[in-house]
Amino acid sequence: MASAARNTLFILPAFALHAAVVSVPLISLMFFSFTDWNGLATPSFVGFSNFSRMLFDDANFRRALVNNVTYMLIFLTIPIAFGLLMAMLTVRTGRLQVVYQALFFIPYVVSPAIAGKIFMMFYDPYNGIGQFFASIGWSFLADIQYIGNRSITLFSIAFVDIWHWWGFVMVIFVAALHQVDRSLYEAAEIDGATKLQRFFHVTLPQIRPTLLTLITVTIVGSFVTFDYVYVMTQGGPAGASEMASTWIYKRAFSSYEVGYASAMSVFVCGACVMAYWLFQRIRRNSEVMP
Amino acid sequence: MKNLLSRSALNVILLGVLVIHMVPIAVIFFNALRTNENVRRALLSFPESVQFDNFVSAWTTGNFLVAFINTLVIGGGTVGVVLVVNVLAAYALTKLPVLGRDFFIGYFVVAIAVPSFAIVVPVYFGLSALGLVNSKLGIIIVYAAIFMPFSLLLMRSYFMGVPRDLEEAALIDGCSELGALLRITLPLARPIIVTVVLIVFVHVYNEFLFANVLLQGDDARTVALSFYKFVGRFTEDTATISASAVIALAPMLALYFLTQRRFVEGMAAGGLKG
Amino acid sequence: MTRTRRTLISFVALTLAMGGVASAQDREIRFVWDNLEPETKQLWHDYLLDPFEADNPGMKIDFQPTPQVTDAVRVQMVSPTTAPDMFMADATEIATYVDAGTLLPLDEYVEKYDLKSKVFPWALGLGFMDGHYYSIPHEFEATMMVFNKSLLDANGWKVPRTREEFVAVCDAAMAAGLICIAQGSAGNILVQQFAFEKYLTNYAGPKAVRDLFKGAVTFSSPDIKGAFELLKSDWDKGYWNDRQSPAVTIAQARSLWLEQRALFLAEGTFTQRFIDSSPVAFEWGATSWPSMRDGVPSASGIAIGAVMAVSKYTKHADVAGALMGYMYERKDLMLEGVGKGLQPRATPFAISDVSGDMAPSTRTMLTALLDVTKDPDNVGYAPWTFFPTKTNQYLMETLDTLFYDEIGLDDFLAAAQKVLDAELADGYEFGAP
Repeated sequence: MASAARNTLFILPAFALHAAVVSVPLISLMFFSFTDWNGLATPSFVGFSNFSRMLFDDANFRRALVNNVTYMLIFLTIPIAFGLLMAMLTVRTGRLQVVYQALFFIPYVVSPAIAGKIFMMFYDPYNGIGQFFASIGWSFLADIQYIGNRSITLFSIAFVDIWHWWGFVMVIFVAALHQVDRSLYEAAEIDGATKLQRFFHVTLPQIRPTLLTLITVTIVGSFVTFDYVYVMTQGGPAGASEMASTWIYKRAFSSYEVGYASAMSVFVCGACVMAYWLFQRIRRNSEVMP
Repeated sequence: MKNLLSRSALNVILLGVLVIHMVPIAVIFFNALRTNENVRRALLSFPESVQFDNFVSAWTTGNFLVAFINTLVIGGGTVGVVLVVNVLAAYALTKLPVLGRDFFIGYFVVAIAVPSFAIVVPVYFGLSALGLVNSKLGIIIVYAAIFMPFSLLLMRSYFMGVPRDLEEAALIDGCSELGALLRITLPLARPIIVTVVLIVFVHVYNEFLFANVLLQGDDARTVALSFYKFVGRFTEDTATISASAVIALAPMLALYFLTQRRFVEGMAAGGLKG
Repeated sequence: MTRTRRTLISFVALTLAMGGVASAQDREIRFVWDNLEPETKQLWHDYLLDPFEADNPGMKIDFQPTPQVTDAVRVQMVSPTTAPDMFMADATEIATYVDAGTLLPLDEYVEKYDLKSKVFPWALGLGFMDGHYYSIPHEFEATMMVFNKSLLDANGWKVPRTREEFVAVCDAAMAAGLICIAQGSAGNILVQQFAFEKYLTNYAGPKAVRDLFKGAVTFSSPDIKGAFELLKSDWDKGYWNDRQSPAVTIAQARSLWLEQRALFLAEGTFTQRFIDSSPVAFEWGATSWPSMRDGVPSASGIAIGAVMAVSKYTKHADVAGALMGYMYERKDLMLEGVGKGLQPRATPFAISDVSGDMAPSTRTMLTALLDVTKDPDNVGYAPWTFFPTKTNQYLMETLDTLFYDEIGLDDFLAAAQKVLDAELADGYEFGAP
């Protein structure tokens, strides 16, 4: 339809701006991923060697990807479940809910640099939150090595990001809950549904679009996680918190392997697009089913 | 639910969570009032004695006044650009038949996942060729592009909640789509506009990498960069950093509290729908 | 209306004219440096920048301390028009810039300001490659063991100078519930250099390090391997911050030392800035790291903390050259600054040259610096000055993996060798004779 094409003009400014600033450089990255560019001198073509190194020869990159997936799973569960729970509690507080939302949202405006520094102070094994727990007698909490225990380093960092993010999630869910038609609840109650049944059969289906979009944003966003990890541990100790982005950053800026870093960036971007596309397929198929 | 969980029990739970949730912020404020030695000895403690020296030193050496003004200008510019392009795009993506709609929606969602450092070198090169390095215009363009996709998502959700009938009524009266957007939708969109203003401003306020590379010299710096003045390569005075953090946070918190009513309204009416 | 407009126009015109006149006379360069503590920045202004501008009318320096300076400069050097005129770099970075053809050869300024007679030859030589000088050294420093003298005395321990003494003190300290060496590399892998340098210098010995980076021996050779092996076993014993060093930030580790919970800091003369900014409630001292093996004398790694380079695209090379010359010409200013806590430049001086009213901490560190560097045949090599970039990066990034037993020592050394071989093939040359 001619008007459909014409309507695209509305989108053009946004698209053009973004494409010029982001996508065009990304395309140049694709070009550089086939070179050995060090960021300064003229690059020379190296074919697929960057890609084969990345996939077969780089255990750190593989570990980083595993960490990315772990991070994504953490964020698909904890903030969403907790945010929803808190939202459901908050909507029942009447006029106070605006106050609660306002206060829970505050960490969102704190920069990752500040939050990262504060929590690194908390995680200090010698003068951090452990000392506080010890002083009140909770020794089982006092001895936790938040950063030093490498099996929980990533979770300790994720905690900061969760602290930052879940207030936002909660506000979104409050909005979604308000949009659920009251009469549906009443009808369910009349039919004798328990609270749990009402949750699963009324609430969840009604907030489904919001939930799915939140999941999409989480999946897509988890490919980029950088700030908190970089400020707090730079991927350490010993790669326990290494993410694709920190590894790429180090290769690009600290060892001048911009070509290799570009290849990894292209890979991660591609993986992200695939993840998005896959999720959309699942979503569409599940909507078709009764 | 009303029977089992009385209002007061609910509030107790929420308040409990809130107190824990606010501990890090409280710690920043408390430590800003203490001395470095005291903080070194015990991280978590009420201020032994209240002293404002850290604030004075943080304020003067951080050159915060100039930084605030710069951030305000850059933030304001970015917000302006984002609002204009997003309002148009969100309107079309929700109300109008558009060629390639799914592509565009997918494009903007995936756009959230581009790490800024991946593109910093080509972007810098491009801006340099245009003579826009170390200029507010240059960084505004970059920020607007980077921060637009997420707020587009929010705006789209909100617009989906504005009934199409209202715009169609205007169309019947002879308005163009653009006219309907400006005359009908936009006035109703005040809450989401406030939301987008806040979200975009927060991101601009906290952004470090591009600011550090594109803004050169003390006079051009933003608040995020001023905060870093106290973080040397190896040194860190915790109390001073806390004071610097408070100075950096305070205006953001103030802006947030001024706008949070509308912000919550915007989120309430829009939320985040696919 | 028109009168106001005319006044406005003339005002604007006058301002533009004045601005134009001013900029026609002033030649300004943008000088990018690392982030500086506010006090240090003030010292730079007092003892270099302001006097320079006063003595050189028409020359202006736009001094810009920048956090994450290495990353920022790398990005900015991509474009001729916006590259900084003069900037700070680590000595080992210069080679990449030279290969890319982005640096201005500085030979004429070395001549003009007679730097060969003023700057340590080995330091000046660091910037000499492909037949030209491309960088001028700035901060002169050395790696140090910084110790809490009061705590040692209180426990009847001596400052260790040999391996036996070191082990004895560390074991005793740990038994007494103290931390032996406070160090933290969380969020800052640069700190790892302070650890492995000390073992390379004091176990393998400077000659072995030289041979390694000239390609004569490999990482798996007995001396080098032994150094890393010893570091690893010392870490396992808990000497290095109770095996917590990768989980603690350097600020946190230093706090422990300040709070007298640790005996030693394994750092360098630059630690003085930290000591100056925090009141130290005890007696402390600094000296070279103890010998880690019989037959290898105790030595410190000599270092140039930062070098200065000039971009090829600068419009006012003479201003940059003049500033660099001024730094070494006005030794009097430098000495005054050193007395106040600035790091010395790479030029010979005696402690008596520095103004009499130095802070005690300044005196302690300066004496230590001059002491460990007095014998040119017994100095080690600081990684950030002499080691090839990618190899150094590998060592810094992977050391904690070695500590946590995620990589075997042989694999670690083999991988390091692989990186080194590639850099040697690329033309890396060890910067000392």
